[in-house]
Amino acid sequence: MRRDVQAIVLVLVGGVILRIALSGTYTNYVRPGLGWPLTVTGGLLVGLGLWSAFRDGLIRGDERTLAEDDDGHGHSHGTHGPRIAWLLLLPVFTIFLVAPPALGSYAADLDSVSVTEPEDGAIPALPDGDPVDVLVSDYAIRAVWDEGKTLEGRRVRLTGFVTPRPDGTWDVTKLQLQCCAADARPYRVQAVGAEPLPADTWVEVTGTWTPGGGVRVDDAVPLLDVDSVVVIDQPAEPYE
Amino acid sequence: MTEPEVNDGLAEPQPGESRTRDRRGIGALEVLTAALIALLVGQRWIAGLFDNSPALQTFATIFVSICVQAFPFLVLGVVLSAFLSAYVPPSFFARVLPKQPALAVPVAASAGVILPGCECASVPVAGSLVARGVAPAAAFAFLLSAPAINPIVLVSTAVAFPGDPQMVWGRLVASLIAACVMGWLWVRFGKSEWVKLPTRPSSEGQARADVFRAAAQHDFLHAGGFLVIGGLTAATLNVVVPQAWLDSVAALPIISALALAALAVMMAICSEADAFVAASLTQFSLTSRLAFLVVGPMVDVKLFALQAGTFGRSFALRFSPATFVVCVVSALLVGAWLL
Repeated sequence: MRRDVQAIVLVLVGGVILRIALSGTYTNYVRPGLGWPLTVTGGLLVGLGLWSAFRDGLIRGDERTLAEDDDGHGHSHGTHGPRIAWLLLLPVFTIFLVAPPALGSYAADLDSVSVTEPEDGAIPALPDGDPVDVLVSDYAIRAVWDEGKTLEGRRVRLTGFVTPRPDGTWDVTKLQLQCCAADARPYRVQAVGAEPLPADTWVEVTGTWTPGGGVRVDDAVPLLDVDSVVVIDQPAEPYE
Repeated sequence: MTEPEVNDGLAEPQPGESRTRDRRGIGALEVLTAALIALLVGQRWIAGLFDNSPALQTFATIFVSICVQAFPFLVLGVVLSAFLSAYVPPSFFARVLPKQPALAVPVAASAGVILPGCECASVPVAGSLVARGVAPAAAFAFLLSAPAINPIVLVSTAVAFPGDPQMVWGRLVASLIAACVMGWLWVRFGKSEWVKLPTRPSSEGQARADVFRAAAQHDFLHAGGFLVIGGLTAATLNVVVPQAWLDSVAALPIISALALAALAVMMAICSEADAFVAASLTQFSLTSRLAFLVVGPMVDVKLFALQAGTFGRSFALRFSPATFVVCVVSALLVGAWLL
């Protein structure tokens, strides 16, 4: 890869990282905490690319300086950079042209449900509020490992997307990230008595816990007796 | 997986060759421009293709997210290692190492802690160490340990396994053992004719800022390219490999460790990002995932190519398989002890 092209690739990669970091769409791919490291990374790469472009004569357009420079110390960091670097254009084009959305019901169906038993065992009471907002993962853990005790008699509101079940009903679903979308883990709560909705619709579901989803097994899908469903836009942070 | 370029930026170009390449490469900018225009014109069609296939869309999201997740780590490693190559003289490493190769091996392996960078960065560093008179066994111990046990890798391992801090210790200990054993094996059995001694030009006489810039640029482009291969492979595996297949292998103790070790060789993820992939393989035991983390930075398809390019093919053909065996055994023993 020629030096001037190397500089362009650096600016393109840095630019696309800056773009997703500053626009906030990076939360479709990684945890929110990575926002400022991505901004710094993008800035550094753009700066390095511009420095190289200036130093190697792309901006000055001075081809002779470039050639003489090589003869002086023509080594591996010189004119022909690594050819493998062309591959860096793949994520750049994918983000600019396709802008892949946050993972949805297809990814949720790929992985089997696994509600891990909380380590400390003690599950605190729900905070005040009617209805009270609860994370889908929190609801699942309370329903499965606390046998619903802390949920009983409370109206809760879950936010997630629709993952249809084979029998025509659907689960309100949220994916949990440790780091990036490659390690996404699905949490699902079956919406009992809700009208059918298309897959990947984002919803706020209000209802009450009802037994029957299975307890003390990590592949249980708990139930929610639905009062109301509100269709919403995808939240800024699509993962838990 | 085939390796597109074995000599990738590591072999010495002849003065004449660099000019021929220059002329041959004149199309590169035009190709890039043409590709950009074609992609911009065809954007609607391409985006439509992805919209209509949830599998393709999921693949694209996972691929992008692996790259986005790894870039900050990669850039941090590249900037630090460029700083070292520009401002720490290579002779320094030769001066601080013991003269006895058998003693120099553990010292060099432990010194890997201070070289932040992924495996792509440690191969050229080890090459220049050998070229400057460091005992090959010590340089190889350093080559193996540096990408596995440096602070960035250990911190990202701790972040990826928030509930299992012993994974960090397991990784550190098992990797150090594997690197030292390989160094000592080389002292005992290694033959100098297996190694094609790398000759690298001196960077003396260049402005330090230029050395820094050139090293950072080269290392990022190089490692970034291999990162993309890793992202593509991992995203494919995520979408294509049936959960049931992984689950069935995951249940078998030794087989599952071997399967993940083989997966590490095939995926060739940067060591700064591999802990996050290991964390996602939740159906596997911690020991199996430790094997993944110990093998990954020391043996994989891209490292094999890098080593063959730097030290010669007959070296890589012997060194990589031996390292694989040593890594798996070390991970199993340390896993049984610590995890």
